[in-house]
Amino acid sequence: MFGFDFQVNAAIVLMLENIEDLESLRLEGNYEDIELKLENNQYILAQAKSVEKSSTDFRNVRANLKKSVKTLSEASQKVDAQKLILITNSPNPLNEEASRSVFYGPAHRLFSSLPDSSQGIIKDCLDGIKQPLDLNKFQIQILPFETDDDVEKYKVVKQNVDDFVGKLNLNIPGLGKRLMNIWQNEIFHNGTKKNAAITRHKRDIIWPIIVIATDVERCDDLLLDYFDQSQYDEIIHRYKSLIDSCCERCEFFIKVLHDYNEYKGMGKSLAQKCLDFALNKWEDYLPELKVDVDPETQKGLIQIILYSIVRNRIQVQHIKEGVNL
Amino acid sequence: MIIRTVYLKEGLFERRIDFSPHVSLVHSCKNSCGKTTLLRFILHGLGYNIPNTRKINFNNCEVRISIECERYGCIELCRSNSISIILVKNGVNHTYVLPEQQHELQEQLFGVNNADILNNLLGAFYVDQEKGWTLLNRGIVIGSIRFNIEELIRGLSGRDCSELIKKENRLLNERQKYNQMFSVALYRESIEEDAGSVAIDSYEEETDIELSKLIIRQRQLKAELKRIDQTLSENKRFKQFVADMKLLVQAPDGTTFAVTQDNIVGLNDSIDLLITKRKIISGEYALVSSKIGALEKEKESEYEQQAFFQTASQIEIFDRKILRIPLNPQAIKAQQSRLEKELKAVRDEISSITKNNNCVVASISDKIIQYGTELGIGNKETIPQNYLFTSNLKELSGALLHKTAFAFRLAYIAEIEKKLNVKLPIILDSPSGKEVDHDNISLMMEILKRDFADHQIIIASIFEYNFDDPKKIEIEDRLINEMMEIQ
Repeated sequence: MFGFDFQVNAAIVLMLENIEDLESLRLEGNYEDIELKLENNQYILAQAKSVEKSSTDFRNVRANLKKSVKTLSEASQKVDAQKLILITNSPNPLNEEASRSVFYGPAHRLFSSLPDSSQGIIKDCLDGIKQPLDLNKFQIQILPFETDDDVEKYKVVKQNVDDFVGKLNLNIPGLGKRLMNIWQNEIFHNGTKKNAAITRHKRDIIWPIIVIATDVERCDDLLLDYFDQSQYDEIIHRYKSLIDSCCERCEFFIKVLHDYNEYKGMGKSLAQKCLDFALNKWEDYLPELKVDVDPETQKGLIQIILYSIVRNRIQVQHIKEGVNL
Repeated sequence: MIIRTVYLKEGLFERRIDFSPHVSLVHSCKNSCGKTTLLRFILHGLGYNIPNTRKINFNNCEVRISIECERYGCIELCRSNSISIILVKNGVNHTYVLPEQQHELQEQLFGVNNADILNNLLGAFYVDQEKGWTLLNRGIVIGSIRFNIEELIRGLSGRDCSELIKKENRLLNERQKYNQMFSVALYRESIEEDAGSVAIDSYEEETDIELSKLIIRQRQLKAELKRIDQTLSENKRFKQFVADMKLLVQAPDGTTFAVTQDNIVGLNDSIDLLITKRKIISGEYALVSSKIGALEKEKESEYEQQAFFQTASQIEIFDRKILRIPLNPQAIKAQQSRLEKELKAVRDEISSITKNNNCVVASISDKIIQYGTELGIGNKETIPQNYLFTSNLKELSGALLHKTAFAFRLAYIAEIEKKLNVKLPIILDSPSGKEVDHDNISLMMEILKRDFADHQIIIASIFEYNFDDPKKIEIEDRLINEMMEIQ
């Protein structure tokens, strides 16, 4: 179980590092533990090797290394591999004093960047392999991953997810953790199916971010200048499913997007124009969105719907561009 | 309406009784010969649900009644069971299912279709020997048939309170439930006071709370999934619709291009978003469902253990369950008093719609005062205008109550005649009961002779009454007494 958990998280880390060029991701694939197919049809193949007591137990690391370079060599014969990676949680993957400091923390070391002695150990492992892997493509990556405490165990994975989210510039509290949970479960479920040929495409991985980013329950800071938080929460609590429906039903949101497109918000930022549109144009939608409430709530409801539709459109565009989807 | 003849058949015996259009006296020298039975046969034959008498089961008999109505002329009614009746009008048979079509049947007889009036006609024209002489304005006429003066007045004056009455019934229903809750709450308190003997199992309580939370979440997720599926299929249909239209549009720079399902801004994104949302929510739904399953299994095994060891008696298990229901007697009490207030307001409104500025009320009251004065019950000063609605029967006793009941009935019949132009028959069972002396009976009969000479009057009694040429129907030993001729 520990080994598979590591494999899942290693896949997440590798996926995030290559998200822009990624086409699909597969666990327990035909060629390797982790296979990342890139848009240029090349592959990044990775062997995931974990040790439960990684910081003290180095007995099997050499054997792991030997097995890894063997399967990576075989796999690299079958597909056009861009990178061949041994990803492990051991801080001393060669069990060698000379390279211990080299693999400190979440290290990424190309073969060429390793000390001579380390290179020698790897070359020794390739002895007897008919078609050994191309050492220029080979690298050892360390993903610190130890203990039963989830916070400690996933801290580097979490950091990677947070960095990725940070780059998207979404400013959504708790997004990293939620996303990590969804990804861990999504990929995990994929991996446990008997048929390992099920592949996760980039869109499957990215859309959960969009779902979270477009959730109306979260109130944008910009809206808070206009709405009282409790007023916003009250409207969402009462009308969430109506708001969701309006944001999702194309016959309605297409109309709103058209009106927004026609709306003149010269010289204003995108976000400000979006807010202005919602605040000024809400009355146009009163006949369609009339509900039996006090005028203030009615006004707020329509403004939230309009703002959410336009904001969601902007967010979707933004995230898709950010990850090159 | 005049009842001409009544034909009765029970087994091999039969009897045909002709009634006078004026006064008929059903007489026997002894008690328990069948006078009351005959009157009840008439009502049964008119389609009412009447209880049997000790000697005769109506369902084993056939009743045919010929009547003459103000509106449709001669009608014949034939009833031989409790669930249907045949009406023969102009030689055509019409079957009515009872009690479902009772109003339709009575509409044919009385020429009125207002349910408020029809429900209360019997209480006006029939005075039962037991209940009848104590019934003034509200109560049981006979069996399960009731009389209500407010309802009759609303019917006669065309005022409709059906919505308010529905509301009143709803409130009554709620009040009944709160009353039950209140007694459970008191019971719960009494168990709580019985300290130590039954303690709440906090683990079970926690499990229950957790389970309810999960069930609520499961329900929310299910609704969300349903909504998403619906939107998804609508959006896909729209996408197909757009694709099928094969529209061409021109951009401002003059280039022409086709509108396809893929170049509508936001459409594909919305579908992708919904698919992903569905996946995430289904995941959560599966998780919540499996948690619910696990908790239920856990609870089940606990109950099995309890049953196996027989450690807890049924009462203990019941008490534990009651203790787990969070009931606050004070809060329930508050709800009860709120309901009482609401109920009172609704009833006041019904009453004000019924009574205020209603000429029917004034007219009936005047008649009651007039007959009351003649019968020596009181006079204009002592009988108040709203006496019609009195609920104080305790102050009336014996002959006074008897005469008052009589005065009320006559006032109703007079008003019905005035409003609907229907002369109801007056059927009195044993008007001389209750130790009413001869003078009082004479006063009552004088009024009938004077003001209701045009009405058919049928009186059943062991006494004789002083009417001009009454038709006497003598009953000896048994009511249906003629052997049928076997052909």
